[in-house]
Amino acid sequence: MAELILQDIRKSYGDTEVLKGVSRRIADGTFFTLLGPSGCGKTTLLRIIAGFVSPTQGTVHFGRDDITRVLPHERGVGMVFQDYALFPDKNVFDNVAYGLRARKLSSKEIQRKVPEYLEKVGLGGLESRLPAEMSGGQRQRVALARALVIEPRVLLMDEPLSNLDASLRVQMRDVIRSLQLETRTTTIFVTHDQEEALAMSDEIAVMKNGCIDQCGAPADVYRNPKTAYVSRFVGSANLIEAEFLEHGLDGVDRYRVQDTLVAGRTMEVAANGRYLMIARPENIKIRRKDSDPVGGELEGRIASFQFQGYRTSFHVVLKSGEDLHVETVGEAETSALGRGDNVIVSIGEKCLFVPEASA
Amino acid sequence: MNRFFPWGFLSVTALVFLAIFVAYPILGVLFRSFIGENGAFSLDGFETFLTRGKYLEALMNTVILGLIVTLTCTILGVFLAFVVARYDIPFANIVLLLPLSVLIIPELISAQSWVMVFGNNGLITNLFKALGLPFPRFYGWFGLIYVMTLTYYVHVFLAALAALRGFDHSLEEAGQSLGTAPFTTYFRVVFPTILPAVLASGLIVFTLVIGNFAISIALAQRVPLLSVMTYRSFISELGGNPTMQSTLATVSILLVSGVLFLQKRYLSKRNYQMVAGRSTPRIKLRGWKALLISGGAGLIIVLSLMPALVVLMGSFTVSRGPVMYWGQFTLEHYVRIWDFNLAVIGNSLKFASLATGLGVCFATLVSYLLVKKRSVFSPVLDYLLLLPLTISGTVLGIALAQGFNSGPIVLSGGLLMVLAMMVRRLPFGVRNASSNLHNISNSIEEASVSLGVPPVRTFFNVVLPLMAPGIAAAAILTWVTTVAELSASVVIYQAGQETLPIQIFRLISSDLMARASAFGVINMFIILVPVFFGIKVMKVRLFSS
Ligand SMILES: Nc1ncnc2c1ncn2[C@@H]1O[C@H](COP(=O)(O)OP(=O)(O)OP(=O)(O)O)[C@@H](O)[C@H]1O
Ligand SMILES: [Mg+2]
Repeated sequence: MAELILQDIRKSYGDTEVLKGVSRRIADGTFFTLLGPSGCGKTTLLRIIAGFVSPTQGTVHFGRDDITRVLPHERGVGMVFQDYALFPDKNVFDNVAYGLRARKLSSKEIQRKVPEYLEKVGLGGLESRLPAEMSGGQRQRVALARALVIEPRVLLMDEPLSNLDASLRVQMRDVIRSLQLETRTTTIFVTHDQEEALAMSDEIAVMKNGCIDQCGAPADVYRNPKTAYVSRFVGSANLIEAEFLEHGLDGVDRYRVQDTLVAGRTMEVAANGRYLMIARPENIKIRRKDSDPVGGELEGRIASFQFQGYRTSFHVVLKSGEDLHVETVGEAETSALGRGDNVIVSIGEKCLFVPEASA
Repeated sequence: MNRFFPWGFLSVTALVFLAIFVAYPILGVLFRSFIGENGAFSLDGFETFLTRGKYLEALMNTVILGLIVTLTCTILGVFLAFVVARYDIPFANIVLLLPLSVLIIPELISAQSWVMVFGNNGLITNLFKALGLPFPRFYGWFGLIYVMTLTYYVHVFLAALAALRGFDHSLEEAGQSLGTAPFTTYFRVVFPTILPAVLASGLIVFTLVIGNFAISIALAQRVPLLSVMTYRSFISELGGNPTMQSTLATVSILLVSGVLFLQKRYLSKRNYQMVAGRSTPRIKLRGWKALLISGGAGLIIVLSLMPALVVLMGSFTVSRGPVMYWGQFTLEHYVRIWDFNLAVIGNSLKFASLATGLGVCFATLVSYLLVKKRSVFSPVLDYLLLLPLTISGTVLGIALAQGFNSGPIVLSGGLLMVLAMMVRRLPFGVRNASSNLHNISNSIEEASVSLGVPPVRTFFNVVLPLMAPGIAAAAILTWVTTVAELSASVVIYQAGQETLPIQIFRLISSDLMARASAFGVINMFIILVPVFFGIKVMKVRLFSS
């Protein structure tokens, strides 16, 4: 187990640069998630850490050891793959024992450790099953036990849950997270499922086109996205063009959004002065039109809505023609609203402003 | 960090091996066909080929024989496949033995057995003579077409059967519901869909016929054929000017490559994808139709399996010179082999096991490199592996003999024998060995490596066990073909290196059929044992494609 340090990692295939300088220090014992759309370089970064791809530039350290040039089989990383990658001709016991045998552990120790880890993943007693005789969830648990039993310095997981069905996925999240907390193994987890990322991680890195756009604790990234891209990728966000008016004293600046004035925090200064307002759907209030809109309020009409039990989600078309997604939670007065109703939405004070170029 | 080692290194090694032992001798043959008596560039060889009537006649005969046998094989194979796929015939299980019969009965023995039935001293011939009836000459066109058809139709049969079994019956019904009569439905709907498979197998038959040596030399007699002529020119020109044998070999290479090129060009484009649908229900036949159809199919099957029986009988039959005393039994021929010819069996076992061992190791390695560790060398390897397909055994033998008798590399006869047997089977061995490889995901290897096992040991620990079924099939099929190999080894062998097929060939040439039969039975036995063991004990699937 160790701290993992990535320093200016770059990777090019021919002329295309798929990683454009990734640097990050990941503290020992952290559950670190790489989140990003398809093709942004998550797998490539993971395979560089594992040693299957060598970076064009940059270094990888485990603690003080520079392992950039160490061969994959000497790195002591554990890997869990999307397709489980179990050895189909070996039973569960031999699969889990594989890495221990490679380390020349005594058979007594192997006999002790394998059942211990199978117990941990909830598969005690299934030692003699073949992978083909198990369900997807069980196979992924075997893969997890096989990777953890060697007590890896770093555990790498590339979309390990994407082959499972929805309910199993939620269940496996808990299995993985609680094992990780128990063993305190530094873990890099790749996913493009934001819900998974938010639920499991100590830290999230949102990647875009070979760069880390923003990094931080899940709640922090959710509440304070530094770019429009991050706000859309982590949770959902309404993005509306805004015009900067003036600085406020308390760090709350004033902007013109369509034909109203809105106050909020500026996350980053735009070089060209063009901004986007980020408004989370749950931070927007909605009511039947009873008066003309005042400051911070806009007028619109409900195009459609979905009642989802404890919350209701509205699709509002503003007077300017823009779409707005609004969510309300268990409020009596909004339950009377219906399609076609004219409404007033109030943006509130929790909105953020980011440069338009960051979308 | 050395990522080149070991896979890049191994790729280069395989490449060098193929370049030296396949490309170099073949290029040598092509090259020498343009070298005249005086050692300078000349087209004399080709001029002789085109102006002396006998060479052109041999080329024509070869092509005509190829066309005719392809046609007869297609008719026979498709007919039998239709019958087996569509009708409920009583002996359907025996049909499944047919592909085995092709493996177990070497071409030479098949030719020999039919000579023993229809030849100058044949069973039936003598019967006709005794009855005072004239019997048509078996040697020449009739014998060639007859024996080659019975030997090669199985290729078409298997391809057509596989295509028919994969054929969706609902398509056929769709055709019928359009208002056409059942027979025309068959013609219009079913036949075009199995046509690519039939054409592909027909082309294989064609290349087998034009490259064939064993049946040709046993039966052609006064019909000049390219392969026989190539062989004779090598035997008679041994040590002399190699221009003419090179020219003949070059013509043969061009002919086969041309066919392969056509196949790649036109067949790969017409690849009908048939989703496995409902298979056609079998129809139960009644009355004279039943008799005709199952009788016809039964006859084909009996004729296919008969050579093994004839040879077995012949090996126990009393003979004086060429005359066989059918009905009088003896163990004399086997005793003679025991007393004098054990070395022949030893040679066969020695060469075949070396060739099989080397060939299978090479095929396993190369298939792994080609599927899993592709590099800049892979396309070149792919092409080099196609080369053995373009040459007949005779030509390969000549190429190796010419290439390594003198010049920068000189190899002994025994090594050349092993090499020839191994190289001929290599492309198929690679195909067999890689059959499972595509289903093994790369992440399995990466899992093993990340668990601390270096790449080469990972290959042995994880990949090799998963490749095992394909490797076993490759081993058995390589063994079967190397034990039966005649056309290349008969060109290369030196005194004391006779194998079973070579010995059989020599005995047939001297018309000593009974003694040849005893060797033939031993030859078939040596082939049969691993096949039987593989199928029954190891459950190897030899004919999965
Ligand atoms: N061996 C390679 N050669 C060339 N390009 C590659 C190679 N491997 C990956 N790439 C490219 O690098 C980019 C990043 O790939 P990567 O597999 O890291 O994406 P990812 O974020 O894991 O995507 P996904 O979510 O789809 O798995 C892609 O554009 C891909 O096409
Ligand atoms: Mg990926």
